[in-house]
Amino acid sequence: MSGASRYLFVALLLIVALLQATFLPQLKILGVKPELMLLSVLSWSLLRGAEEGLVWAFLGGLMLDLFSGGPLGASTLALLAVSFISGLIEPAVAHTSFLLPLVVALGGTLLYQGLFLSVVQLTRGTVLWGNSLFQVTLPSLAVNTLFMPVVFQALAWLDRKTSRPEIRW
Amino acid sequence: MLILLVFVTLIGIVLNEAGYLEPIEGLTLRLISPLQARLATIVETSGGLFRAVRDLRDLRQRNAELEEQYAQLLIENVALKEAVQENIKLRALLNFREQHPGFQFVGGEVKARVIGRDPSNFLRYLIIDAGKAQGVEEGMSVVVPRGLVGRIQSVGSNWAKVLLITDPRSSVSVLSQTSRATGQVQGLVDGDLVMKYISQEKVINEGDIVLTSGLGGNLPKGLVVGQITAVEQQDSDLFQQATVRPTVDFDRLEKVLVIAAFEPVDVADEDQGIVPDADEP
Repeated sequence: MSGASRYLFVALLLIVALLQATFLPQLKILGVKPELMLLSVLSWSLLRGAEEGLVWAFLGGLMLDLFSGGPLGASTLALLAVSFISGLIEPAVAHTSFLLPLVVALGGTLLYQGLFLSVVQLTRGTVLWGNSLFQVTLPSLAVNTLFMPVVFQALAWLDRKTSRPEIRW
Repeated sequence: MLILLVFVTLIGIVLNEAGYLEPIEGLTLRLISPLQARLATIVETSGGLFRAVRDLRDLRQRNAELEEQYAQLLIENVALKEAVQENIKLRALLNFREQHPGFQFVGGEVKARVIGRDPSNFLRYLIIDAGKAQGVEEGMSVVVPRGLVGRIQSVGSNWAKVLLITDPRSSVSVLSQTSRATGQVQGLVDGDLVMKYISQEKVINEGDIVLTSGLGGNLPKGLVVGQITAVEQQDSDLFQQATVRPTVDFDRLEKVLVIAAFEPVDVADEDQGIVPDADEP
């Protein structure tokens, strides 16, 4: 990752966090808003592997936590876990498979929300697990999966633009 | 790298819960909040365009107008009923000097703009563009003309985070306007409210207006919270509970008021019969 790309990515993550805190709440579908940061981190981990994905997860999670009234670190910790797991998938496979991002969005949403709520439970107490599952997690699975192809394609384009050219011998 | 980042995050959680990270969080939000405010303006403007497209259907627009009228009438009705209740109290206590108006803004109020919402689907917070510089403090009530919005959870120099009453971690002491039954209103995940710990001896009905009771001293008395839409009463239970629909449309909040100070309810007087069953659980 070059120096310029690094700043570009930080700016991009800040924009994603700001969008999630200002614009996306107006775009509620099935009662939930799309989790743009989660989808971005999952996509980048698939495209670039765990190492870069973890950096995105850490920075993106911190930004979300800053805008949230919840415990600082809840989003960060949950994003780190999902990023690590999705980053284990070989990027070459992710580039060619259409279904893989959708499957990762489903699994990633479940794991992310489960970990997020666990941190809230540990630090703040009250979590209505049953209601959260049926009224937030299930709709989120559908909404995030719906948005995943768009986010993944946009970041795949960014990946192509910012990748170092491969030297073939 | 994962272990390092997880370790740093865990340390962060512990330090934050202990309150050590507030200055850093405050500084960062102070730097970002002008950008966020600018984005909120853009979203407000573009949100208008969105709404214009959505409101093309005449029926929907008509419905919105009727809802608005209904809300106005509801608020007027609440005010009138409160006046009647006050009148009854004054008649009963001949020389009683009115020390307990519904609520009173002693120190004035702070107007603030909503510049952000919680990015999580599980939490219900707002970020507003008023903070310590404007006299905002933790615990202050946030309202709009339609009713109670929430309470200030944390505050920085020019921003504050508001815990909405619809958040499952929020709890507000309330009373039914007609039956004067007291209880606690808590948020639900779907954005509705539930009124708990209502005495079995009280009769509550669908359509009853729920107001803040002022007990506990954290909130002014008489702020509209919502309207009862369903009652769950079983003889085997210790208490009744009711579903409450909030009067505030939390998705369309743009400007709010922060009550900087108010005259708290005098619990001693309440015990003498002004609110006959003021027994907070």
